[in-house]
Amino acid sequence: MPPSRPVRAQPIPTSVGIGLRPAHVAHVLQHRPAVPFFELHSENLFCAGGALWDAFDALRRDYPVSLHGVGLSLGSADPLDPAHLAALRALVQRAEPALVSEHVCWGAIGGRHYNDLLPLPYTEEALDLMVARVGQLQEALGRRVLVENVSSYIHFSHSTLSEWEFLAALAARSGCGLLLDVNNVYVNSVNHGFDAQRFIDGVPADAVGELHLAGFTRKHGLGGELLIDSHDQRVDAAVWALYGYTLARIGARPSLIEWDQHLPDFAVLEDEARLATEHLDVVTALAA
Amino acid sequence: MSSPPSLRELQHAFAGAIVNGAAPALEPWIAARGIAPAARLRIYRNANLAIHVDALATSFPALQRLLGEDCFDGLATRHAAYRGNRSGNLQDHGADFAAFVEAQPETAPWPWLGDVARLEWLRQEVALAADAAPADAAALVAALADAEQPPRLRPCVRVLSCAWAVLDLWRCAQAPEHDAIDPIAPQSVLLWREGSQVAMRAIAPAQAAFVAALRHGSSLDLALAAAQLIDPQAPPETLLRPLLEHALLAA
Repeated sequence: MPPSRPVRAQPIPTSVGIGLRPAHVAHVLQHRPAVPFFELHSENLFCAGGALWDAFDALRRDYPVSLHGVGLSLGSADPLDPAHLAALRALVQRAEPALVSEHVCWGAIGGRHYNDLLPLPYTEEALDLMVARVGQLQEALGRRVLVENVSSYIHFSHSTLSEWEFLAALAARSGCGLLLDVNNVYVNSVNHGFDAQRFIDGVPADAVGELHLAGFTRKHGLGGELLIDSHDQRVDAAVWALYGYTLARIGARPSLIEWDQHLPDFAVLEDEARLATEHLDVVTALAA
Repeated sequence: MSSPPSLRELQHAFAGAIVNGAAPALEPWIAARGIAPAARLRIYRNANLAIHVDALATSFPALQRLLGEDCFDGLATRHAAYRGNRSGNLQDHGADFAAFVEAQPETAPWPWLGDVARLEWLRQEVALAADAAPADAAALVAALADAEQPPRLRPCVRVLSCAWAVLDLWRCAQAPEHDAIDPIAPQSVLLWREGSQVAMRAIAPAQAAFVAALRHGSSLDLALAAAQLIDPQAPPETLLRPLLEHALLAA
């Protein structure tokens, strides 16, 4: 059990954390499992107070925490929602998380939000916009952020860059870090027909600050194979293999188990974290 | 589109596919790889509906029980198509759902359902409101001695007055085995947070008017006047009683 102490902004260790969803909060606070860090969705803490904040305050006394945004819509052709950005800024000031991340995607246009991580075309126009938006975000928060590659079911044929070239250029030009979701790389490699290892090879290792792992489902009946990033399964064997390749390629990084739908008992997430830790331990031992 | 769409054009067309189920101008710019572009877009449309229906079901569980899942899902799906969400935060989704519900033809036989939704939305506001310590005795005396200075309520206090027995209906939705209730009875409800739980109780209409006036920043005198418009005989001490009983004045 981690010691209880009033520590602020504990750094994220290079080990395997768990994405904490509201349904598991009571269990975690009661049993204080030995999880190296937790990641929460930023928007869950946009509220001013109440039970979620009580739980968060209790949680961060004992664990390092990172905040992972899902609703800023960085890649929208419309300006960022100033209220959302202000809420995120206030949250980061109040919560002092060790890491802050968002997504390389869009989710709103014309004043309407779709509350989903929608795909961008990998064009110079989209890259210029993302560079500007990540810069705006980092300036507003006064800190470097990580941005995550998303899974997608659509590839725009007028894209002029590969997804990994887009991410590399975004990191180089904006100074942001990358949150590399290994499951999303694998899902997209199947959905769009590229070599997943080539993606990993194309990502600047120094920019990667965190890795994500999750489960997908296979969708049938569409005429071709399509993987859905459902976050409701254990990590697939192919993704474990790609995770091992990623660690060997870029080195050990803080890694996170995500599970968002049909949440199992917390013990299942701990078991997934144990499997990830076994991979991480191999790389750490080899590097020693 | 004969030339590639701009990012703005692409996103508006994509949004059209989510809302209306079709984006013929965008489809030529989507790589098929054995799966029709329209089918690929439909995945996002279906996910969007599921996201919004699930969010509304989370915020309006009593309404869902009273309507039944199928009817609720139908209304929520229509709401997603016609209204959508104006915030990147799903906690904000549903502020207009009560008005939407009572405007739909299938709810016309049960005109109280809109107020049940209104009560559930207030419950969510109460649950997420800022924390504030209650006033101690000395602060209370000072606040109540100054008739001009409005006393501050804790941020979690809400009040709802309606023409239906909305609190009884909500409780009936929690435990439908209870005796049938008569919905056609005006009811006012005070809501607040006790610990991490949302608390509710029925109060008199004049008490509700008094609390509502204080919530809007009125002085005690003006709040008293608002209450006496509802019930000229309402004794001032009874108006304050629910706020004092539950320690709802802020320090």
